[in-house]
Amino acid sequence: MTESTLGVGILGAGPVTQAIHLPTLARLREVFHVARIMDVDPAIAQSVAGRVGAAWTTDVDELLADDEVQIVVVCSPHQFHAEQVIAACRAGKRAVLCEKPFAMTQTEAEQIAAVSTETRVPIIVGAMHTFDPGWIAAKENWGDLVETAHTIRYTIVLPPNARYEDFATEVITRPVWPPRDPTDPEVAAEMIRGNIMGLAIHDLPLVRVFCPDFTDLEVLSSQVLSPSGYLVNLRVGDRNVQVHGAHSSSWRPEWTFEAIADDASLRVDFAPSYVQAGSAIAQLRRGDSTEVYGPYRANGYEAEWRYLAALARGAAEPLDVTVLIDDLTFALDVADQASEYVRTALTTTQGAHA
Amino acid sequence: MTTRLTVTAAPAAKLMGDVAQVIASLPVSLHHAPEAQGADLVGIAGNAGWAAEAIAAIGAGARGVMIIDPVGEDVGALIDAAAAARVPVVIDSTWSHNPAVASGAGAFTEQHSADSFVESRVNAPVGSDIDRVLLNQLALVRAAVGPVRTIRFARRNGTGYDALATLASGASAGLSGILSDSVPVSASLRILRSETAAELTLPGPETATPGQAVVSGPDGATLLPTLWETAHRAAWRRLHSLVIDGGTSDDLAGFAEDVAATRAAS
Repeated sequence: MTESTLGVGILGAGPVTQAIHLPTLARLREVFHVARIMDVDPAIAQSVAGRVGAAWTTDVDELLADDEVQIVVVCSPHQFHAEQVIAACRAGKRAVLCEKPFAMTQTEAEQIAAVSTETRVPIIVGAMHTFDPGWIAAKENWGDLVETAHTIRYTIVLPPNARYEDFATEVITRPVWPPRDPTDPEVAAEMIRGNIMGLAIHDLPLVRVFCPDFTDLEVLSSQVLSPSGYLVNLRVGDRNVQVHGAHSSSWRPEWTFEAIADDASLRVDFAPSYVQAGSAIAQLRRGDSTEVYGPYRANGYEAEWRYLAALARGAAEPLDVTVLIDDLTFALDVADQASEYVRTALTTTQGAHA
Repeated sequence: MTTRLTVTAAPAAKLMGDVAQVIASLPVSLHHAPEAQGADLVGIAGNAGWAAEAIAAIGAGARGVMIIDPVGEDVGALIDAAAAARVPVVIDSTWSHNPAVASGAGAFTEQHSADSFVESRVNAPVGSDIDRVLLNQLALVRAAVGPVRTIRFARRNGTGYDALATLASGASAGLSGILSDSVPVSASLRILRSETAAELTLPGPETATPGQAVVSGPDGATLLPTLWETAHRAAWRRLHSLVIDGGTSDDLAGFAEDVAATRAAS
């Protein structure tokens, strides 16, 4: 460590920490050093901390009490996010980065916002694509597309995590997902909710940008896809929105966001989330011409961390916390309504066949 | 040796099917009929009343009929007339004759099963007739994978549609049509399985830009041979072959099923 770098404390040392944040921080050694890593599994905490010469602990409070930790990163399971973000704010840290989702209920989100306002500790959510230089460049150039877009498409075709995690780092833990029965209404509803809050949530903030009336939301269809995935059609205000995800071991990953109007359209192609592969490539089409932005050298993670450093040093304006709450509100609405749609549809169908 | 057949088409058909360009690109097989009457092949625009026009053309002695981008109509009488006269009727729908469809057919057969999910999207110009867009998409799904039996719209409005469908095989499908002048006219279709995938991307029917058929799996992805032929030209080449070889076309029967599916859509 040097005095000129910011000390980072990480809560949770799973694949996201190992494959995303540590490789990103390795690119930013002039800005950050990892001071301490916490995980409930001591072997993992010690092993991962050992890679970067950091101290380790199994205790959240110990990490928060460490004066060398100036920035806290919350990478623990979703259900712990809210309490740990609040605790980090109360501990007087300079800034907090919470992996998405930063809360699991509206009430939690409002509590976080209140504590952030009270303690003046800035919070950002790890929605890395909102920081992606390709997306930012598109935003600066898309003109009135937010007003004119009528159709939003958001698709992820994801290879197995190991395909890219293993090239970002050497992962020593990985969750195991037991097989589930998607014909069971409760299981299907939980699969949809889990997919929305775990995967689709990455770019729901981007979708919301193009849905000014985001609270006027109606799920038009929702289903678990075979062999694994989800397809949700939404009406959000007057926008037609489709959110789609599929897990496939074939060699054709895809992560795209589109906003389409009558006379202009945007397509953004993102790299898979774990890899250090530069920014997205954004294409803006108007008539017969196409403007292309990117790829830029830095990806969204790096941009997110650089912004975090600026926040911690008081060199950047904090994000409006209401934006984060609105993003979460939108994601929860989509997840709740889409899962309820599936539950009702399957229950009705199975009742009809009983 | 190729037998050259004469072609006639009304101005609307010529425009919709790019007929002059097709004939220019098949100079040994086709040529313009000196007079409208007595042509071997007749091109008919698929606007309202096209089925009656086709029956009339068969009655006037046409040896083959091409219907270009038809609207939904009852075709029972036309099927009977074509069968009685042994005249093949081919439908030049927007996507189904693109050579990449035939190129990828084997791969889609391998990927397709009762638990498959077929995804297809069509990009069409603003102001397009949604029914026509959907019928053309159904023809594509039929040609590449298999016939659609039921359709339920999640959304249908002036900017397009999102529909959920079931195929005769039991497979399900998500069908979308998006109307915009900012996205090139194009179509896509794919089946993703846990280990493998087959995907088609198709340009509009008037361009010889190749469609792409890609098969992928754990060992990598293969782009099937690319063919620089427009869908219109491939359709006329097929009609020419059917007439010369005495073959029959089941396009009308498939079209009738697709029309029935759209009329029963909920």
